[in-house]
Amino acid sequence: MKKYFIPSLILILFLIFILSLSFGAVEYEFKEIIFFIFHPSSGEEIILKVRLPRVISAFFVGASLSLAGLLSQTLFLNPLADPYLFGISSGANFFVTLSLFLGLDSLFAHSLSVFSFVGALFSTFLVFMISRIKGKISPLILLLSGIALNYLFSSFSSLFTVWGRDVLNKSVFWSMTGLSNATWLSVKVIIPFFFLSLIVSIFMYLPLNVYILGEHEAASLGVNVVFTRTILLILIALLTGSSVYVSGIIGFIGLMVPNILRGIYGTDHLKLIPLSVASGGALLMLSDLISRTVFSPTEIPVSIITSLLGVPFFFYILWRERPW
Amino acid sequence: MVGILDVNNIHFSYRKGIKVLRGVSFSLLKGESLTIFGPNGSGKSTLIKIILGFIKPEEGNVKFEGRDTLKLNSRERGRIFSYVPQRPSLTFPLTVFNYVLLGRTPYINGFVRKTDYDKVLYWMDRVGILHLKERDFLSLSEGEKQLALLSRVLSQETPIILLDEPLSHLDLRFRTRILKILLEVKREGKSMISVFHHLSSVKFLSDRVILLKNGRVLKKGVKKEVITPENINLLFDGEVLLDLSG
Repeated sequence: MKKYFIPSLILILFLIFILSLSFGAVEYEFKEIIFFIFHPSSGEEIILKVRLPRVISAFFVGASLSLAGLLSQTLFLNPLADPYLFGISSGANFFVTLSLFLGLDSLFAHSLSVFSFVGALFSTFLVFMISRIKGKISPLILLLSGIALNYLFSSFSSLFTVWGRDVLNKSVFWSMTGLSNATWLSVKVIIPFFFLSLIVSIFMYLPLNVYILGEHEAASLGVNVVFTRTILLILIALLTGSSVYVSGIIGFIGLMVPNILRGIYGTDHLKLIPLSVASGGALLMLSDLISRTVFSPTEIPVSIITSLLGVPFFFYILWRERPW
Repeated sequence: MVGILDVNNIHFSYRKGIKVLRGVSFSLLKGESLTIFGPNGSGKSTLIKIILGFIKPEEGNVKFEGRDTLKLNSRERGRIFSYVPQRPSLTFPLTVFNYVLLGRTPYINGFVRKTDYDKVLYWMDRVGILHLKERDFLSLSEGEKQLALLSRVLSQETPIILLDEPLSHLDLRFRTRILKILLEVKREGKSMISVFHHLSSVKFLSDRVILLKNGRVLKKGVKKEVITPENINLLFDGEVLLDLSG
């Protein structure tokens, strides 16, 4: 399996990319897409202005969520950790809704992305503090706490949405549309957050490999635990915050991808980081393709597809880990 | 023998008012095995954590060859002390070889070198777990996990090894196996500070013993002079009947 995984992944990525560009309200033939790739200036408006930014955004959101999932599992030493399940995405979503409510969205350029990051950081920190409650909390209790926080933030978001009619229109639209609103601007916003997080996490592969031994053993092996933990918190928030800003809440990518890869490659972050990024990107591109073609011409939110895939997987991991 | 570690006047309390350590001092010689022995809650594990730099003492210092180790960074400390906890904590899949390789972390700059791989193979062979190298660590028995942990700690090649009740959950077979390896490396010049629950382990491995009670040193000295029925009775408030013959 190991031997064929990387070549298959590259092939699948390429195929999904081509398919995603060809299918939609207007369909293109395979050779038209290939021609377009080699002659991007040939000017197919729909591909260039609508489909391409959407497909690229799907890749980077999927890659970001997958990497955020991997890093959360490392931070919480818990294979069930995921930005969606642990309430990090809904924390980001809540802060965006709140800032829309308060009219802070036009404070400065992309101010919503900053609030999204702050919300993600706040909720990651909150879950982290719960995980540090004296007497080492069990992975199951931590998961339940995350799910409870998820509900809390979602309820707050709904509350503020109800309170402000303008907010209602903007934020419901914003959190439900997923990737259908993605433009080149979305790509521009997510790329710096993504690459910054990717580069920093690759540089930190060694402390991350050691961090999974728990803080005391990691410290005894020369890892600066406080520094590693702080960087992890920030990276998870950057990745989740920027994804939520671009596409609203999309669940389970961060749970599925790293767990499958860990099963194949073991826990070596030097391999897991790039592979999570590529596989997470591929999975969200595929989910997005399904979401806009399966009931064509009607488009369904991509989060429905990821949940349909993710929930059975969640039960599988729960059964495998048996954290009770 | 040369002194390599000095622990001076360590004071520590977890919450204000409840003192866990009250002025503990001792020194460790090169190639010496020192055991801290005492009832639950006497401050043994806290003392180990302070020496390792996991927690900061309120007062006092720890000096390795004259250098204050609390002022060193974690990487420098990782080249002086290695640590064997009660049991290894790992929840993710990892091959035994990669697990032991983590012991080389304090020496790795960027990427793993051939010498790191060689050292890992050497120690796995000496501990007797080379045949397990491709196995998933999580699939090992408790005893095998502890042997893998020991290989990781020995691959770290530090002058001082700290052991915090590393044998308490193992059967006699694995306990003996680990004690024999520790005795071997001690003879090769490693220094050790350990916390054991079984007096048999103390008798087997220790040169000197410190009896710790309520955060204070009750007695310290060579094991024959310290591990006596009178001292043990004093340590456990007369609640332990002891036969130290044999």
